[in-house]
Amino acid sequence: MWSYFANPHKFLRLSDWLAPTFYAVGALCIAWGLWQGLWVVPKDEYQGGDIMRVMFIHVPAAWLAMASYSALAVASFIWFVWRHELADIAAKSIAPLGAVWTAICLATGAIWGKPTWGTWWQWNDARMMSVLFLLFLFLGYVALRASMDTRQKAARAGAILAMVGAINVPLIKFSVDMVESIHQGASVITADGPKMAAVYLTPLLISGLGHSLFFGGLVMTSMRTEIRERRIARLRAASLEGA
Amino acid sequence: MPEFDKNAAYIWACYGIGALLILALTLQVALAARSARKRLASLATNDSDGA
Repeated sequence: MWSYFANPHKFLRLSDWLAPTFYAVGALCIAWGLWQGLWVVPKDEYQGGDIMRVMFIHVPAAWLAMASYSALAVASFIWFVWRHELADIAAKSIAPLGAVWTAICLATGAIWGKPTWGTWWQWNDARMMSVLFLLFLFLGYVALRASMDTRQKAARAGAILAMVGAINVPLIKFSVDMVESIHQGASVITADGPKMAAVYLTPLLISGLGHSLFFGGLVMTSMRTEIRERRIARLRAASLEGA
Repeated sequence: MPEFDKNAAYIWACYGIGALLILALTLQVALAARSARKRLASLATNDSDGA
């Protein structure tokens, strides 16, 4: 199975139609989630009134921040063990995109925090600091790769950082349960099932699906670009050798 | 447009930032893809001309 998906030609053929499909379905789901979140669902006075509508952008961004880092770590592991170039291309493509969704999570969380908790940020809060650390991991991964002088060194250093940094993902998830936090506890992915009413849960899940699909489309497009960039580098190197 | 209570500015700011970042990222990814496609096509044409 790995060798099938590790073939760039097969990936290019597959992503040629899969990426636009992901964009289209993802955008539709995001739009539906937005419409539900901003216009349709009733405000929840228990959660501060209308400000809870921020949930429909903040929570999918938070899920995607963690999921994208997990994907980065898995792709890095596959490259590290089996040396499949496509896994390295995937890891390289995921990192900057994951950083953007993490930044959205942090920005919307800070804005939501001001009217809810009376503060934009709390430096001793485990949830906030672990997500900020996640952003630094993404940015560090991009910077580390860029600082290496060969592609192999960049892939190796990046893979090690991504795999070591994966320990932060469960820390983010369980930070609100393990230590005291002003951030609310988990209300969707819990051992007892979702604690949220269906009227909020359904648009939230559809929004999450939309963000994930759109993100997947962007990853595939970035991977296609990286495959072409590597071909360009090979062609240039071949023409220099021939000259 | 929906009417919110006193926190409308916070809500719109969140969705505005989210939309802006995602749109900017999409544009950047699309432009990078177009640039790579064009450069590869041009190199492939030169390669076949030289062959």
